[in-house]
Amino acid sequence: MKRLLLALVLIILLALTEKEGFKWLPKQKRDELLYFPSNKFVKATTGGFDLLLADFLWIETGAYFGKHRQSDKRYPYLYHMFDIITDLDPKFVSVYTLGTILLATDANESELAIKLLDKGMTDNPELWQIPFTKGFIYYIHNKNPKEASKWFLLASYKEDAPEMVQKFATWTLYRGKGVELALRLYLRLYEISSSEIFIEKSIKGITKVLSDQYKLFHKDKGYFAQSLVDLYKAGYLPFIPQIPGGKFTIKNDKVIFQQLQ
Amino acid sequence: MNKIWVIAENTFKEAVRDKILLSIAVIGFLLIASSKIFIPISIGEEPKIIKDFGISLVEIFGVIVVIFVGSRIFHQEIERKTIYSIMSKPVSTLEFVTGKFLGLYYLIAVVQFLLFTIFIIFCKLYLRTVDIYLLNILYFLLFEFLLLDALVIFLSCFTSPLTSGIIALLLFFIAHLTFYLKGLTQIIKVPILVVILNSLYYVLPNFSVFNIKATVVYNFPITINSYLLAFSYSILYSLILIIFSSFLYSRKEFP
Repeated sequence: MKRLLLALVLIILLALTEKEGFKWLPKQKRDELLYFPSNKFVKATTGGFDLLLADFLWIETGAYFGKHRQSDKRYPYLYHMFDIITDLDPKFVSVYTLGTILLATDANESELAIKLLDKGMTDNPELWQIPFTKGFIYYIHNKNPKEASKWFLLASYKEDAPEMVQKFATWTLYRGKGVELALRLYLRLYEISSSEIFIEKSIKGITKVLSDQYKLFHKDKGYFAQSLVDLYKAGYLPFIPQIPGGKFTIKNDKVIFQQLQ
Repeated sequence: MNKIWVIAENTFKEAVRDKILLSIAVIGFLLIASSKIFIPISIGEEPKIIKDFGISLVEIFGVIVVIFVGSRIFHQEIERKTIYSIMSKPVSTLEFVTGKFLGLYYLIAVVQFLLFTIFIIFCKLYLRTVDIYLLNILYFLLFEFLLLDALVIFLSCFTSPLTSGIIALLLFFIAHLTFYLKGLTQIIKVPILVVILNSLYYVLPNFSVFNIKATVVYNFPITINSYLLAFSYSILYSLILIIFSSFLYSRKEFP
């Protein structure tokens, strides 16, 4: 009898969990986000294992991102996932730095990315990486150098901020420094990334900047540059970006990244 | 005191002979070792994920050992009829219950040291470094398990092994959420409910006292107050539970 009663209590608890937790889910997506009920509810069910759950959700989010990247390239739940992870583990810096870049560039949700970064700055006021990422998104994605400069400057005031961060704050306000800044930002993203997604993203970003300069050279001069050195010598590039394991080059009138064997 | 140590030692030896314990230790070892599978999918968070995973597994397997072994601790004595020979000797119920409590704690301490050593070895293998700061986790876990041990012993005194196991597991989770009860008192305006919630907040064990996982993983400083609170809270609460347990056990009638 006691066991039956216990089973009954557990069934009622499970029913309540489902009723309260899964409310927000649209019906057709329930299977995909079965492990992502509402924020408050997740926190209340971890039993002290907040960090472990945050890690599992981070891995799950990676799988969600990968799956949609291969198919429809739409990520309607990405913000919600990052929001829950940072509720569980407010010090999970990668969500603020790398996650928000995915949110802004791939999901095209820069407002939500900024919202998440603001949350990150409240929970981690000592970190320079979060305002720096906010500056990155304002500059690269939102094309708002004035706002970007503000956040780079704030990042430069933080302890442990690299010297380069302050230079970024100044460069954003000089139009002539736009190419240099974009290249250095992508190189910075490359340096801090240990994930394939972000390494690929930074290489693509650098290739795009180089291609734009290559086209500009053609437009101005009426002929194509033969190499990146030509672009550098003509003042179209402040430097030639270097990435270990490969090099940027011009092939068949296109800027490409060539992997070294 | 000697009688207590004899009972404790026997409890430890009996538990070690138990196959469940060996299975738990093997599964624990395999799971900690398997944390390597998270490295390629952790999107740049390898060190954090390996540490979180290892620390949590050490704790989870500690909880399983305490609950599995602890919930059957008195029942086994009755089942094997060894309780009659113990009770016929000049051993008070307080000595008997304390001996059982310490025996179980001895076991859990050994299991924790073993699992923690495995975790540290895998940290060295996978991350190429050993963070000495992780040792703090062991200090807090040992006090957390002291309290959980006392709680399971207390429950085993008046419930069946299955019931005490389930209640102990539920209490373990609830004990990590007691701060929500305090939060609710700020929202709820009904005075009687506020009194009930406040009472529950102070009566139920508060395991967040021992939860310093985030502090250790992110290398934040741990205050001396945290060490002292974990120590005093665990010792005091456990002593109270052991006294209540011996009282309840003395009223128990054996078939």
